[in-house]
Amino acid sequence: MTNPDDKLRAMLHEDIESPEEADALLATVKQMRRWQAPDASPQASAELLKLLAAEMPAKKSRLNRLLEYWPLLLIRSQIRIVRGEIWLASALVMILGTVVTLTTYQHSPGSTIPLAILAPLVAAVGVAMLYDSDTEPMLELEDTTPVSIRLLLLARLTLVFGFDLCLGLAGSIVLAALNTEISLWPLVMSWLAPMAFLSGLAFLLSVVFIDSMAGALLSLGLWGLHVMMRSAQPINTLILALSLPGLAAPETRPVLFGLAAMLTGLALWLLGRTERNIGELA
Amino acid sequence: MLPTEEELALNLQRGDFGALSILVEKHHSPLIGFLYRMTGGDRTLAEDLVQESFLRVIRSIAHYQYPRPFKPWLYTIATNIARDHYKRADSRHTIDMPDDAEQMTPEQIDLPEDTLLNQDEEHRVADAISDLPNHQREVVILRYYQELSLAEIADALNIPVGTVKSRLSLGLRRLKTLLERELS
Repeated sequence: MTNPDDKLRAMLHEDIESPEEADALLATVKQMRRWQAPDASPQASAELLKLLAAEMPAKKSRLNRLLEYWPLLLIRSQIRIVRGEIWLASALVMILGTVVTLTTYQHSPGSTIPLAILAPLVAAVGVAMLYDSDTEPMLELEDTTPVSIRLLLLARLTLVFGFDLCLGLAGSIVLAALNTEISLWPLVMSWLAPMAFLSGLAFLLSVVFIDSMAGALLSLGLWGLHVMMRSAQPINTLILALSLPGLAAPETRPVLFGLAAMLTGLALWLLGRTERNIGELA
Repeated sequence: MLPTEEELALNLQRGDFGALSILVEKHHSPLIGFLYRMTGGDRTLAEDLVQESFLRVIRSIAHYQYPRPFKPWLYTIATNIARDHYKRADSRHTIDMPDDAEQMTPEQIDLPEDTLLNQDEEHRVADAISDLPNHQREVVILRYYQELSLAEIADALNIPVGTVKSRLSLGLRRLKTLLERELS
C-alpha cells in the first residue's frame, strides 16, 4: 500500500466502527498529519549516546548471569541459614570414610566399601537436621515473605544433599584413582540410590514429627539394620523385612530414586498443610 | 540476519552498548516526534524528555521480559515520562503554543507566504491536539503519528484494544470539531 491516503483510510476503517464516519474523518487526519515534528540530528544522537554510556550497567559475564538466576540466588541465600555443624560434620565423616576405605579395604566377594555405608548416612542425618521445632517458628516468620516455605526448604534440601553428593563423588574419585580394585561408576551407584532414598525418608520423617532427631534416628536405624543384616543370619522374617534387603541391590535403584522423589514431594506438600502451633512447640 | 528489537533489548540487558546504539538510532527521532507532539510542540522539552526516557530504559532494562515486544514497552516508558512531567509541573495538559506575532523571528518574517500559511496550519493542529484530553491525545498521537498498531497501543498503555478504539473514535471526532472551530 504505497499511497499514504490509502494507508490512512485503512487505518481509519480499522479504528472506527462506521465506514462512513471513517471516510469523513480522513480529511481531519490528513490535516493533522501536516504538523511536522523535528528529527533528531546525528549530533544530538551522538550526544545522547555519550550521556547514556555513563549510565550503562556493567557488562555481565555468562557466569555472573548464571549466578543471578533466581533458583541459584535462592540457594546461595540459604547457605548461611543452614547450621554450620552440618557442613563440618559431613565433610569430616566423608573424609574419614575415604581414609578408612583406602587403608582397610580389600576386595573380596560380598565385601562392602566403608564410604558406600557412610555416604547415605551422612546425607540422611544432614537432611533431617533441616527441619525441627527450632526452625518451625522461623519458618512461620518466613512464611510472610514472598518466597514460600516449601521453596525455602527445597533450596536447603538441594544445598545439603548437593554438598553431600559432591563429597561422596570426591571421595569416590579419590578411591578409584588410588585403589585399582575399585571402579568409580559401580562405587557411585552403590551409595547414590540409598543416599537419595534415605535422605527423602529422613526429610519426610522430620517434617511429620517436627523433629530432626526422629528423622535422623529412624533412617540411621533402618540403614544400620540393613547393613548388619547383609552379613548376618536373619533372626526372623520381620527383622529381615524391616532391614529392606534390596536397599543396596542394583535392581532396586530406579525404584529407590522414584521413592526418594515421592517422599520429598510428600514432605513438601505436608509442609504447607500441617497445622502449626508455635505456642505448643515453644 | 539483523537482530530484532527484542533481541537487542535482551543484549542491552546483558550490558551490550552496541545494542543500545542501534535502538537509539532507530527510536530517537520517532520519540522526539512523539514527545514533541505530547508537549504541544516544545522541542527543547521534548528532547529533555527523550533523554529521560532512554535513561529510564537503561535503568529498567533488568525488568524487561524477553520476548515482550520492545516498541510498546518503550512507549510505555515515554508516555509515563510525559505524564510524570505534567504531574511535576502541576500544569494543565495543554501547553500554549507560542504566540505567532511574538515568536516570529526576522527570518520568519521574510519567509514566503505559503510557508507562513503552513506554519499557521501547524499551530492550529497543535492547538487542537493540545486541547484533547490526555487519554485521547495519547492514543491519537500513537496511532496517527507514530503509526503503532492497535495492539501495540493497548500494550503500551495497558488498556484493552476496545478502549483504544473508543478513545480514538472520540478523540478524532473532537479533533475534527476543534479544527473546524479554529478555522471558522
